Amino acid sequence: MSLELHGIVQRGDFRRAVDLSVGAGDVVAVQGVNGSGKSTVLHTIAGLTPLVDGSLTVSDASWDVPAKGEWRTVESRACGVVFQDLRLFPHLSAMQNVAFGLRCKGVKRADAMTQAMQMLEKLHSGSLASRRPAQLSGGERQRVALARALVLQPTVLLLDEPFSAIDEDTRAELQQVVPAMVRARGIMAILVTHDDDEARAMASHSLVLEP
Amino acid sequence: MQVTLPERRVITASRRNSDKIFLSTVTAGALSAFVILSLIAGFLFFRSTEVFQTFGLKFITSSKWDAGSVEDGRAAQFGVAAMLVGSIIVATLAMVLALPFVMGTALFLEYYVNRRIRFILVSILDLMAAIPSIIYGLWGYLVLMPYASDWAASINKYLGWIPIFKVDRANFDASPFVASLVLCLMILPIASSVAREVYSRAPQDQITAAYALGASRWGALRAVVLPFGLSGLVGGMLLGLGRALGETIAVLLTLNLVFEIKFQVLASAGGNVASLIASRFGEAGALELKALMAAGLVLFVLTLIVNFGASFVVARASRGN
Repeated sequence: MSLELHGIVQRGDFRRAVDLSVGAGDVVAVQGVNGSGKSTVLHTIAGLTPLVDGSLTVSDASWDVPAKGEWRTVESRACGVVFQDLRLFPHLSAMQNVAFGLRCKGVKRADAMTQAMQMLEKLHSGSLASRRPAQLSGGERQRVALARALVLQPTVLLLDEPFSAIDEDTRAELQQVVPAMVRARGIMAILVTHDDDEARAMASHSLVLEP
Repeated sequence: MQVTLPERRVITASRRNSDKIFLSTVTAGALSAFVILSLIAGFLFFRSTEVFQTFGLKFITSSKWDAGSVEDGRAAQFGVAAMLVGSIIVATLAMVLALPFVMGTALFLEYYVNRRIRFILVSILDLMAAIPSIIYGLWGYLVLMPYASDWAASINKYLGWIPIFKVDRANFDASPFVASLVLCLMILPIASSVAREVYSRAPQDQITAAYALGASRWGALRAVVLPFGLSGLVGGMLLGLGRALGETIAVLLTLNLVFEIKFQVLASAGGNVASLIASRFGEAGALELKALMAAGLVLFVLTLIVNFGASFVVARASRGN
């Protein structure tokens, strides 16, 4: 199982060529200065932005190949995304946030809630289940966002500077927990980060995007 | 060497004449609305004092409206309970009927059509707001009522076991249901305009997050836009309610006024304060005229409360956003 992205990504007027390969159980860091297209790479893989040219394939399945007109919709891509600003839904509790993606995939409410709770507990956040995002600290919100991405059993985990706004201890813990989960599940993770230490701690190798 | 120091500057905090004139003008403009509102309230209050002194609280709780007769020795009795309850029923029913249309219109215009078509549709919607209410009334009476009566008969046939859908006689013309349908169309432009405005400010990044989690477009709207815009929707509906409560001529043409409190919305009998005033004003004697002023005061207070409520909800929504 591997993810292969070779082509030109675009967001607005910005375009750049990208060559990225990620194997099963790997965390690959994507680094570069602001505006170099790191988040655009993640958006392209998630299906939020189409590829201009080239191909995006996951386990030999075409997700986005413009030349052949092949396109897999956002909801049918097995991606879990943790955004830089987390984007938790403010009116939902932590557990409802985690269960949201499952509900979108048609999982029954009770089952979705059970799975959401199990995932929160795996990340030592079971006690946060009934709290809303505004009642959580930065680190707690990070865990909920991570649980929301992981509960979908994604093939590809996309992390957009997910630990940029949390305390050292929580960051150090999550930097160990996430790669371990990726390895244990045999999934592929792409980590966008500015932090070299974080890239070294979590990723097997890095792709540096020049401006 | 002697140095000549410049004279000290005189810094004054007083405004220049142009500023004073401008300030006076805008203050007068801002206060005029408040002054006019106070004058209307004062006028209604003083003209209706005698009625409240004579009938007391019975004016609000009684449903009898009788100008009396010297020949028959019958004393005048005035009470607006039936009209007041009727106003609230008709306006509330109009809200219930309008809600799905308001939500649908706002979501469709904001999230399902391109800019050009949206411009055309919004212009048409704005035009709907500009149509005089007499036109709505005439259209409701001549075109809508025959169809609406059939719909009402069907609702009665299948849902007649629900108390509000029962009727004593099989006459479905000029019912609160018909008047509500007309009002529903009249409040659609303002309510959907407010709802659309709030929906348009829903956070795009959260919509994107919902898509990334596998939500369909409807799923993303339901998860992000509807909760975000709830206060705006409520505010818009309350503004519409304010209009529905005060609507006169369209309701007068499409509702059979009966001085009896009735909760059967399909029956050809209902009440409306504004329509009562319009229908009785021309032939009212001195005391009945004062009673109509008192009815106007009651409606004025009710509408004021609803509009204040709407402003509060909309302001809270804006702060929340």
